[in-house]
Amino acid sequence: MNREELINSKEYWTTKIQLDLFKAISHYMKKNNLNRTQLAKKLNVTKGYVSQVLNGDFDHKVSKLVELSLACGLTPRIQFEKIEDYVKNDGFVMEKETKFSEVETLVIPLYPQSDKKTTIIKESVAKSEHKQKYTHYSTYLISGTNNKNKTAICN
Amino acid sequence: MSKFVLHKIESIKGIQEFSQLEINGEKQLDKFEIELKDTTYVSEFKQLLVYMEYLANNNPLPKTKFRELKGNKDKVKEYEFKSKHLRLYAIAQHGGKIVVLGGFKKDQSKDIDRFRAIKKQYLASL
Repeated sequence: MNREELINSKEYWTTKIQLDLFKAISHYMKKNNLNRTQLAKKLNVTKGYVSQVLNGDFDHKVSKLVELSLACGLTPRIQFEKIEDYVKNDGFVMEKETKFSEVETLVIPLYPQSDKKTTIIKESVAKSEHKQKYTHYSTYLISGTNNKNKTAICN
Repeated sequence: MSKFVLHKIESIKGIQEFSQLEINGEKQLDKFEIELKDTTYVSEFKQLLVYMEYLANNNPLPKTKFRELKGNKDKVKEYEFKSKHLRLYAIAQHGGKIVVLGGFKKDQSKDIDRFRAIKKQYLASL
């Protein structure tokens, strides 16, 4: 299977979102020293529900995704990007390690924004493994004033 | 004596390099994918690729999706990527991982034996 075929599959994006949510919730639990039972109580959901999220099997309503994110102090943002642009840029934004201790946003990259509030950030990312420089553009909807924190997810 | 060659898994982009083992001309991940063609498991196979990519970018994975195998008798770590019905067995390589074998959950026990036998041969060939 080539990369383009994989990126064009629903499994690729569904699984990535599930894993991003798992990562965000895991980080929140660790940061707040919570076990699954305590987290379930805090979120007012069942322990089984928390387990689904932490097993990377979350496949519920969008409203639940939003609820979970907000409960963890994260704002979920959905972005849409043209597949050809993603392939061209090699999906580099998503694949950088996210550090939730430094960010307040759970970015789910799916689309390019044309909103006035949108800021286009140009980044040069050194890919040390190949000792080669890649330049890519990532588009975020940034409604706040503290852009440094909002874009830290790229770092 | 089997002949081994490593091939980068092109569908995965990440900081860590993920390779697949070719044994006597057969690339093991590609072979497994062909085996799954036109079955309901193709979807799970794609999930496994995403798990590998997520890990390749130094992100954590749920324990239900990825684990280090127990019972390893040498210093080269062994890993298992897991979907509902499928398994991928891998070993550590410098700066990444090598996928050695793919199989079904129902065959896990004998596949792990086979995986370890291949691993032993491969390491001996280096």
